[in-house]
Amino acid sequence: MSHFKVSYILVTLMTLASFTDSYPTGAFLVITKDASTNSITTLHDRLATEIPKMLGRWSFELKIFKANNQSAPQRDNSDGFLYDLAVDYDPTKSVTLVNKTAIVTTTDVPGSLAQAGCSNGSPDTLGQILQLKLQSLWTLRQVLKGDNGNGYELRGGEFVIRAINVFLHGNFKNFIVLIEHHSNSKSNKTRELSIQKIESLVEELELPKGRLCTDTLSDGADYLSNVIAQLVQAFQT
Amino acid sequence: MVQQLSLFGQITRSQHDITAVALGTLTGSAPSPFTTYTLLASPKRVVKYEPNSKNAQFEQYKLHLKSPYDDTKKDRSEYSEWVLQVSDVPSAGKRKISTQAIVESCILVQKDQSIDTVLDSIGYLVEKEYLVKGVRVFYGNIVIEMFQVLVKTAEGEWKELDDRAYLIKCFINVEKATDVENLQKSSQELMSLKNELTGFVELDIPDRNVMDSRIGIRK
Repeated sequence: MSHFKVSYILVTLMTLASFTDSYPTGAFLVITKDASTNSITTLHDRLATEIPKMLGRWSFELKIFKANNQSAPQRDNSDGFLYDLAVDYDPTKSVTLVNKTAIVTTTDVPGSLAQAGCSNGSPDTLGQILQLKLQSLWTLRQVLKGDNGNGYELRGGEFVIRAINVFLHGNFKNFIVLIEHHSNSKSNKTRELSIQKIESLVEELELPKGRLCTDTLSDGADYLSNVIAQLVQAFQT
Repeated sequence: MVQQLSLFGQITRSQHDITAVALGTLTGSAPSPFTTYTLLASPKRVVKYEPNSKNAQFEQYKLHLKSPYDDTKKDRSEYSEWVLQVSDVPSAGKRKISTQAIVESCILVQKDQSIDTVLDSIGYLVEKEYLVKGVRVFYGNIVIEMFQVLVKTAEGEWKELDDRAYLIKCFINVEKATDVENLQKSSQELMSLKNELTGFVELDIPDRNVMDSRIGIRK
């Protein structure tokens, strides 16, 4: 009897450990219509009954650049916009999305490059360089800010929910919820499975009604690249 | 962004070995070899300067991309980590030390990308590539580099641009342009190195215009 119990605990621990090591197979956003600044408190109360692990506050900044007419890269498939995202729970990384290409930059220069003397130190994000030195090509038009968001970890780390109010030039714009499904397998099928699981979670928890944005860039794209793709999808329509 | 304070000098090839020993003795550390692979990228479309334009006109800059050279890799598409640098024209005025602001970021090239596609998407194109190969020693806060520039020949071999000489670059990076105290201290440090090496290597400030990475508008 006791032997059985011990093995059970071991299994649970292992699953927990594998969830924390795993990479999210999906990060999806829900945009809610008719949202107000209070929606976040309503959601907080709703999720509190699930006894989540609180991940603390978070914020993000999405800069939207437009190609300069005179010097725009002339391509048929380009929409002429460039987006730059920085989230504070991954402070060293930033991602820039332009024409379905996500450029990942880091302010944490890899040791091999630093040791080889390639870096001068105190690196910035690509967004800052665009603003400082590439103004002739890209002009900053809008800055969308998310402030004082909440992060929750549900079901032993299987789901991570991040809710946040979005402001444009200080005015409330929308309320978005980022839902991540974490699993240990990286195969292609799990993406479809993740969307299913997230859809059922949304129904089960009776989250506010909204649209699910599930754009991804490619199978190999990293986490932030997918987040920015979905954010852009969410705000475009 | 850093402020880079620097002095440059030149020695002939025959002086190279003795200078390496001398620098090793001066600094008390063995010179460590380095080879940096550098790409120079320019905007795909250069904006012409219009004297009476109503639109705001901005300078265009060349980008430098640096990565440690790895001879097992065939070409630049196999490198996945790059430091992107954009440098201002050095500060004007009567100076004893060249002062230049440099901004940088580190690009992590994703699986389905290459550095060319990344640059292409922000409107840039790789124009030239070269290697910087030499040795490096540290003297107090100063980094001393003695190097040659290698370019690719038509046969695909790396060859010295000028095999008769070596360049010497001594520099200190100061993090903040407002940190006057550190800027002064670093200038003094470089000046005392210059004095120490007098008669051996002549260190001087380079021509401002040579260090200018802006293109288009005013030219």
